[in-house]
Amino acid sequence: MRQLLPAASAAVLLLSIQLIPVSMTNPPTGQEFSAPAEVGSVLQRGCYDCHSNRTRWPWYAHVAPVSWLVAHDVSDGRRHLNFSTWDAYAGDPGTAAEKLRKLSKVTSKGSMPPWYYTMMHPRARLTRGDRMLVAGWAARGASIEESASAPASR
Amino acid sequence: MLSITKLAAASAMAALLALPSFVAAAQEPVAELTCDSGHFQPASLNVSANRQVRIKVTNRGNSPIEFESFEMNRERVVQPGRSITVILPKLDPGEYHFFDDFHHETGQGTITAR
Repeated sequence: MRQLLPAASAAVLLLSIQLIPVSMTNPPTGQEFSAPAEVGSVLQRGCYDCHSNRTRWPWYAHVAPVSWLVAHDVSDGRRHLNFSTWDAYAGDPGTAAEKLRKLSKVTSKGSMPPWYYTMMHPRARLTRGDRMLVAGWAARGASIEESASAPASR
Repeated sequence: MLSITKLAAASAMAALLALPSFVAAAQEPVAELTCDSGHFQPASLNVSANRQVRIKVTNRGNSPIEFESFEMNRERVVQPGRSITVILPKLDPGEYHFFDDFHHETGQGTITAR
C-alpha cells in the first residue's frame, strides 16, 4: 500500500491542477497583416499559432501543466508580435518597420519557430526557401515602413 | 477668364479645407524622453488622453536602446546619440508601461494619459 502512495499522490495532484483555470481564447482580430499569398501561407503555417488571434489549440493544450506552458507561449508571442492586430502598429511606421525587421532576422537565422514547437508541429517547420522568402519580403517591407517614418524621426 | 476665377476660388477653398489638418499637426503635442545608461528621464510622463501624441526619444548613452510598450504596441530601436519620434496611439485615460528592452533592469517608465 505504501508503495502506491507516491503514485496516488501524483495522480491526485495531476487531477487537481486541471482545475486551475487557464485562458485559451482567440480574441477578435483587428486589421490583419497583409502579405502576398505565398508569404502569408508560410507565416500562417509557421507563426500564427503564437503570433495571431487565430491560434489552433491542440488537445494537449488543455491538459495541465502543458496548458500553462502553451498559454504562456501564446500570450507572450502575441504581446511581441500579433499579425491579427497589425493596425495597432501601423499608426507608427517606425514600429511596423521594427516588427518586420525582427521578423526578417528571426526567420533568416532560424530561431523562429522554436524547435520545441516544430517538434510537436512538423508542418510548421520552415524550409530554407520558406525562410528566404519571408526574410526577404519582411526586409523590403521594413525599408518601406522606415522611409515612411523618416520624417517623424529626425 | 471665368474659368481662371473659378480655378482660383477652388484653390482657395481647397487651401481653407486643408488648413485644419495643418493646424492640428502643428498642435500635436510632443513629449520628450531621454535615455542615458539604461535610465529614462523622466521615468513618468503625462500626456493628453484621446489625442495623438508624439514622443521624441533621445538616446544619450553609448549603446542602443529599445523603447518598447506592449500596452501601446510600440517598439523602436534608438542608436546612441540619435533621436526618434514615436507616434503613440490615441490613449484612453490610464497608465501605460514602457521599458527599454535592452536594459530591462533599469529602463522602466510609465505614461499617464489624462
